[in-house]
Amino acid sequence: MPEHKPQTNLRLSAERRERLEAAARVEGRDKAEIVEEALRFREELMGSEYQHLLDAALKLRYQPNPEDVVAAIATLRNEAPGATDATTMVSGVRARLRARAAVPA
Amino acid sequence: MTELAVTKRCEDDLVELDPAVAEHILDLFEERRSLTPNHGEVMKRVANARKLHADMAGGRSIRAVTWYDRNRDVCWLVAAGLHEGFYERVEELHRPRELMPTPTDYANFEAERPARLLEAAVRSARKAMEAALTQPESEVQLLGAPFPETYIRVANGKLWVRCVAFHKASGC
Repeated sequence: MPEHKPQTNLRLSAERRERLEAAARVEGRDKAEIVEEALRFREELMGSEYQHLLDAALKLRYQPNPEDVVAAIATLRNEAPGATDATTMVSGVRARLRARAAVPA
Repeated sequence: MTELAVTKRCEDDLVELDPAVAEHILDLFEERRSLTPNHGEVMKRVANARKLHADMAGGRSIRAVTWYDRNRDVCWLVAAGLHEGFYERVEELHRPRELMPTPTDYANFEAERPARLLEAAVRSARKAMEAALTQPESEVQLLGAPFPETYIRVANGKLWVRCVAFHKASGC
C-alpha cells in the first residue's frame, strides 16, 4: 500500500495565529488541543453527510480491502454536493469526448 | 510529477468544440503542463491562471487556461475555446467563482486517486519495457513509490522481474 504522510506543518494566517496564541493563554490550554476542538466543531457544523464523505475519503486512502475502496469511490463520486458523473482525468475526458463524437447526431 | 486534471465546467467547453480541436488541447495540456505546470503567460485579471496557446494548422486560433494548485501539485485545465472573446469569457466566469475547480471536482479527483495511480504505473511500465528491450541484460526500474520497488531485465530471451519487499536497514 502507498505510504501516507499527513501534513503536520500547517501554516495559519498571521491573524489566526495571534488569536490562537491568545486563546491558548486565556484558556491555559495547548494550541493543538484548541485546533482539534475547532475541527471537531467544524465537522459537526458541516453535518452528517459531510462526515460521511470524509469517512469515504479516509477509507479510500487507508482501507486495503478492495470492496471498501470501491464503496468509498462511489460515495465520493455520488454523494458530494452537486455530484455529477464527470471525470477529472485527462484520459477519462478524452474517452468521453470520443464516445460522444462516435454517436451519430 | 505533477498530476493533471480537468474541471467539469471545462469539459463542457471541450464538448462545444470540434472533437479534433478538443483532443489537440488535451494533447498540449499533457505535453506542456505535466513537467512545467506553472509555465505560460499569466492572465492579467485571474490570479495564477496561465494561458495555453493551442493554435492549429489552417489558422485556427485555439486557447485554453490552466491553473496550478501548488499545494496539491495538481494542474487543472479550467477553460478552453476559440480565441475570439475567449479571455473576456474566462474573466466573466472567474468573477462569480465559476472558473476554478469546485468541491465536486475535488471530490471526483479524490475518488479517482486509485485510477490515477494505476494509470501512472501502466505509463511507467510501458517506458520501462521499451528500455529493457533495447538494453538486454540491464536492470530497469519498472515501478517506484508509492508502489513496491520493481525492476525488470531481459536476458536470454526471458523477462526477469525483481520486486523489493524489504530494505535492509543501514548499519545493521
